[in-house]
Amino acid sequence: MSKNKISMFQVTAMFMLLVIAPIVRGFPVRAAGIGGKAAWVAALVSIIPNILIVLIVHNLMNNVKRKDGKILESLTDVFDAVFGKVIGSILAVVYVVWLILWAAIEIRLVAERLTSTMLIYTPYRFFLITMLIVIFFFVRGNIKSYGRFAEVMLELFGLVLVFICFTVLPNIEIKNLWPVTTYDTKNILLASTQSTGLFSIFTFSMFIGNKIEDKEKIKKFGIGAAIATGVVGAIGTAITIGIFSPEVVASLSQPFFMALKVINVFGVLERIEAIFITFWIVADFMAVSYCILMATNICKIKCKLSNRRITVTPIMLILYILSIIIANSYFSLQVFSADICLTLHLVFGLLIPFIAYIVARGRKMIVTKEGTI
Amino acid sequence: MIYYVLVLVAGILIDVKDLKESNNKSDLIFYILLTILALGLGIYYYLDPTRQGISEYVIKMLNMEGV
Repeated sequence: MSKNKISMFQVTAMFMLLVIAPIVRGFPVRAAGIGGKAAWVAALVSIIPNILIVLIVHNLMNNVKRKDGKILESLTDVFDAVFGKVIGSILAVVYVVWLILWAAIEIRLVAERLTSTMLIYTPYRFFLITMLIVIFFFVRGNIKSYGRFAEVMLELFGLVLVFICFTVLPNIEIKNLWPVTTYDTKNILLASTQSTGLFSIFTFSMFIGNKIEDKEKIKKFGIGAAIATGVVGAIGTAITIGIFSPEVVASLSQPFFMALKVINVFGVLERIEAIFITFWIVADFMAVSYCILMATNICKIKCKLSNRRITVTPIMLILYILSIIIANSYFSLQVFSADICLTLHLVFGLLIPFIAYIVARGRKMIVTKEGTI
Repeated sequence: MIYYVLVLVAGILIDVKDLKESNNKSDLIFYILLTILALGLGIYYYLDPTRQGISEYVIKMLNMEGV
C-alpha cells in the first residue's frame, strides 16, 4: 500500500464505527415510536435503499469519466465534473458547512450525554474541550493510523456486540416482537428511513477518495456495510423492544443502555454497560474526527492547499464555538439532531449524489465495461 | 474571551511552521480567512453568550416547537 493512502476496508471500518453507535442507541427509540413491534423489521428493510446508496456512490466514483481524460479522485472532483466548476464549488462549500455543523452537533450531544448520565456536576464544556484537544492531534496526524485504529476498534466492537447478543437472549420476550403483519408495511417503510438517513453518511466517505487506494472495492465493502448496518440495527432494536416492549422503548432516551443493565451471566458478570459506554465514546469521537477529516480534505482539494493540517486549528476553534451556539438546551439539540439532521443527511448523502448520477447519465459521462450509458 | 483569543494565538504559533514549510500563497490566504472566521464567531458568541441557539432558531422557523 502506498504512503498516506488507506484501503477501502479501513474507510468502511471508519464509517461502520460511527454509524453503529447511533444505530443501536437512537434508531430503536425512533423506530419503536413509528413501527411498534415491527420496528426491528424496518432495519432489515432499510438494507435495500442502503445498497442503492452504495451503487450510486460506486458508479459516481468508478465510472464517471471526464471528456478530457482527467482522473476523478474524490467526490468533490466528481461534482465538479458533473455539475460544472461553479455548482461544484458551491456544493463543496455547502458540504463543508454541513460537515462542521454536524460535527458540532455530535460533539455537543456526547458532552451533554456524559453530563446527564455520569458526571452530572461537571460542566459540558469540560468534555467539549477535552475531546476537541484529542481530536485536534488525531486529525492532524497521519490518515493511515486513523484507518488502522478504526479497523481494530471495529473488530473489538463486533466482539462486544456478539457477546451482548448472547447474554441478553434469555431476557427477550417474543410476544414483544411478534406478530408482524402486512398491516405494518407502511410503518416499517417509514421507520426504515431513519436507518437509511444514517447510512447515507457513507457517501461522505468519498470526500477522501484521493486517499483511498482501492476504490474499485466500494461496491464489495459498501454492500457488506449496508447489510451489517441493517442486521446490527435489527438486533439492537430486537434486544431493546424484546426486553422492554415498543411502548416503553419509544419513551426511553437510552433503551439499549438500560437493556445492558439487565445482563447477568450466572450471577458472576454484571454491570457490563461501562464497557459499552467506552465504545460509544470512541464511536462518537470517530464520528467527529471523520467529519473534520472530510471537511479539511474538501478544503485541501478545492483551495489547492499543500497540506490539510493547516486547516485543522481554525476549524477546531470554529467547532468549539459552534458546538456551544448550536443549542441552549439539550432537548432542542435532540429534536434538531433527530428530525432535521436525518433529513439533511438524506439530502446530502442520497438526494444530491442521485441527482449527480442522473445528470452524469444524461451527459453520457458514465463509462462502464459495457460502454457509455 | 481572553482565553479564547490566547488559544487562537497559540494555534497560529503551532501552524506557522507548517505555513512556512509549504510556502504556498493559497495556504496562507485560506488560513487567514479561516482564522478571521474563528475569531468572528468567538466575538459573536462572547458578546452575548445567552442569545438563542441555532437549533432553537431553526425549530422555531420550521414551526416544530410541539415536537
